[in-house]
Amino acid sequence: MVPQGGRTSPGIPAAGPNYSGWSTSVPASGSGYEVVFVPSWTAYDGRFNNNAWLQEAGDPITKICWDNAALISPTTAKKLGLENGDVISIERNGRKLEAAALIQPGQADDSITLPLGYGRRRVGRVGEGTGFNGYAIQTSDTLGFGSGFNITKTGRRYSIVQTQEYQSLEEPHLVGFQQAVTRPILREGNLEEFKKEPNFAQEMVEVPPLRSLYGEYDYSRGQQWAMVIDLNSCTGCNACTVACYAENNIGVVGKEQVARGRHMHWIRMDRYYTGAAEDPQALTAPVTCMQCETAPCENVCPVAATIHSPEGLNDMVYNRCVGTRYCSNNCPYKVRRFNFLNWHENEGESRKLQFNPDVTVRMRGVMEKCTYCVQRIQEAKIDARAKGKRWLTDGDVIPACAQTCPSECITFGNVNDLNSQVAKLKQSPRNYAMLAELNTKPRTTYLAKLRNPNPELEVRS
Amino acid sequence: MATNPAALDPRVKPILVQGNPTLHKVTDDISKITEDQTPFKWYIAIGITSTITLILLAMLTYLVFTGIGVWGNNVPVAWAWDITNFVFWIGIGHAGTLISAILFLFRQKWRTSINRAAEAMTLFAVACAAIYPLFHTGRPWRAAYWLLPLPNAYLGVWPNFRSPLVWDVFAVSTYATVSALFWYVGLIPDLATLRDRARGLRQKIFGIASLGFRGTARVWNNYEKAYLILAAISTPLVLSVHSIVSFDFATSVLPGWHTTIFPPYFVAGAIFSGFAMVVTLMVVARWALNLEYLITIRHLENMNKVILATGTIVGYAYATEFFIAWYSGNPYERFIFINRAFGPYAWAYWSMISCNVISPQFFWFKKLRTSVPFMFVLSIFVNIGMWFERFVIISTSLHRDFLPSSWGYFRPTIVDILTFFGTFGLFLTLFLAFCRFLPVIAMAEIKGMMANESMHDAVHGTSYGPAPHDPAVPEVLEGGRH
Repeated sequence: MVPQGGRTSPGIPAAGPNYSGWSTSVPASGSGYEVVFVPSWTAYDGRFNNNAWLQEAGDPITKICWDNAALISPTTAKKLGLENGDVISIERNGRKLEAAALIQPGQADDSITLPLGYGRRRVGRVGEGTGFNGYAIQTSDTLGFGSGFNITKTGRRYSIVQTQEYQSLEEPHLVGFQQAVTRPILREGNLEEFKKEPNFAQEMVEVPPLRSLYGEYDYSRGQQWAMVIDLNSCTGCNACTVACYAENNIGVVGKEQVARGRHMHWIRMDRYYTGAAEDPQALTAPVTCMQCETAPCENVCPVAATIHSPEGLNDMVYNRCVGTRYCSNNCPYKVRRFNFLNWHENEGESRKLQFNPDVTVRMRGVMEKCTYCVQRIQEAKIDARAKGKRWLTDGDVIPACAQTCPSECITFGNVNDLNSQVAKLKQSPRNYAMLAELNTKPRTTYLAKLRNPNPELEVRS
Repeated sequence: MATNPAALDPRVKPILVQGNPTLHKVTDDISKITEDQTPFKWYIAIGITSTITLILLAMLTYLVFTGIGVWGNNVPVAWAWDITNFVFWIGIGHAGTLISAILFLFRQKWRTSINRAAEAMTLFAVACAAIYPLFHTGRPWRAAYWLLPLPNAYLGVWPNFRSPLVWDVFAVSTYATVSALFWYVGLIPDLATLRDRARGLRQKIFGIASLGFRGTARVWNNYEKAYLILAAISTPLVLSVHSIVSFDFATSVLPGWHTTIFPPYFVAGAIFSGFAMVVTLMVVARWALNLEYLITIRHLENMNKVILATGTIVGYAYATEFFIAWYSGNPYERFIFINRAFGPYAWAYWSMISCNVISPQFFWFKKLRTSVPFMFVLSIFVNIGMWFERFVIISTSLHRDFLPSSWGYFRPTIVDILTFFGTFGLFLTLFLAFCRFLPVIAMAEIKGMMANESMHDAVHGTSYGPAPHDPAVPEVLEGGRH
């Protein structure tokens, strides 16, 4: 039950590999700051600025939704007296842009990254009023990056909305940058250590034998759905999140509601840092409903609107849900999403045609969450029966996230079928369950990340 | 307010009715409140409070037609002011049953002057509390009957009996029913008195309400037995309701909620806040209705002693929670408690500590616990503190739980604030209506106690009530305006 607090991820030096020699080696030209123009993760060069799914999925590292921001390093922020959301004026040769600043761990000192594709003046209903137009200060001599920019603090504030770590830098004594290490949520190690101690990920938390208060169901028979997410191959690209929006008719809530913490990501991209704020390592992982076998959400629902299927799915019965939200409170993974308002209120007729007809559009007042794409499972079962097949095999059902993942880090299948890929991956020594010490018995497990750092780079610090 | 020291000396037999009034005077003084022409100040007061109640109705209407999103609730803080206010009001309701049932069984005679009003307050507080479990749901039009054990035709399913929310439905509805019955049974002799004093329609109404109570020895015999049985039924409820409310939290997996200390700690807190609310209301009511000779400083002091005792228990529980969080070695549990005291909600935590732990300690001083203005202010502080306690437990535990990626913060909206404000309007409107239309003090009980005491005194030589006068007990008309 007790995570062994003193133990850190093996293989990661306290400060992490130091690439600072690289990042600060860009010459500051003596006067002013450097600005780096990059395509934004969400809107690219601006062509996708009117895409609500991309806007709401946000940037996987900064976690900003519905905006871009001038990314500055913690040291530079301290020097300029900036906090998250302070509006700064960026000037060079009479061209000027006012943009909100965001302190980004790992950003090079005296260098500002400005994602492009925002601040469009003519754009549709979705993109209107989002972000700051980097093109306003990009000239032919500063196409990719340029130096000699003047930065001044305007004193005004702008609300930047992030889906993760709203307050992290304001309270370093509480949040720190060691969270992924002191809380063994996402586990990583390096190759050398792994060879010596292959079970390191499973041994990071001591899980004593646990028993459920209520009788446990026998899941050893039939088709039992499960998922494995390989942290080694996750690149944090957010494609799974967006695919899930498309497949499951998830409502887009907009910047104001994301600021209130009401975004509806059924599969969200978690990002944790390790190491010092100036030069951290980042870890990303998609987190979705774990379909716990002993799900804490199920006990507490007064109307039995969330119940277990014999195939191990934690089913959500929308018709039965009255919206007490107790399930969300009791979910240790916080993957449940609530329809606080009617998210589909202002959608036109054309949007209705876009909905997936196999999935219910949820009304307000109802809880929802990842279903492992149960509609695809049911469809595959019907198909199989028509073909006279009794069991589904690998490839018959692929959830939208797994289908979309470019690095194939999500594997889904029948864990009772010992030939399935998911059953084989569960045998990996890297396989671990997040928060297993709570006895939730999650069906979704993770494969710990392995790094293989180049020792020559490490010496360079 | 000058008080004779002898009236407060614990060694002297307590003077529960001051000024040796006759039985007739007691009946007259209490009945007249309901019979005289309605004072203008009552109209002003109920005008204000019913306007506030209208705000509550407007906010609930807006909520039902728009969605829970009009409040500040979010994920991770899916419960916030809604459940805070629910537990707050339920807690306030506790003093009524404690005074009427437990103190009755322990033969604490000082309860007679305050039990009627305290029970009424219980009912009105439970009415305010009952708003939240229903309206905090996303679909109250369904929750209104799907949480009841009705195998409904629509889905053909029962509620989930493993859910503490279902236990809550049973606990709170049982409590409300038994409290209402107990209160009504207690009212019957007094309603009969009012009936006998009235003519016309008023007589008919009270005639029906008093259920044919005629005051014969047999009727009294049956009545006293029924009252005793109801007191015995109510007594476990004082402990069970808030224990079950605490299970809403204690049975979850959330650090800061998953604690075995919750049932006793919640019950102590509920009595603490309930008594504070009784003190707040009684201080105002005894002044407004000229009943200082019946609700004496001695009564208020006794309630303040209860506040001191339960407040100290609550403070001890806070300390225990911290110790156990450290002692358990569970890093999530430890973090939650450090975060409570030093995190983003530290302002709420320290408000709670100063109102609940520090402020009742002033009641160690006799001068302070017998000072009416001081206890009035302090009782309000205690209620503020107890509201913060529920807010701290709910919001600080939810806002930073296991996975830091989901951490958030809760900010109330104007609708949150006005809804809570509105429940005070409902509470005070009901209380004002009660003060105007029903006897605020249990006349029959207080007269019974006076008669009983005077017989007792005739044997033991101390004088009390309309018995032969004893110069040792001074005749004090403390602040009374008769």
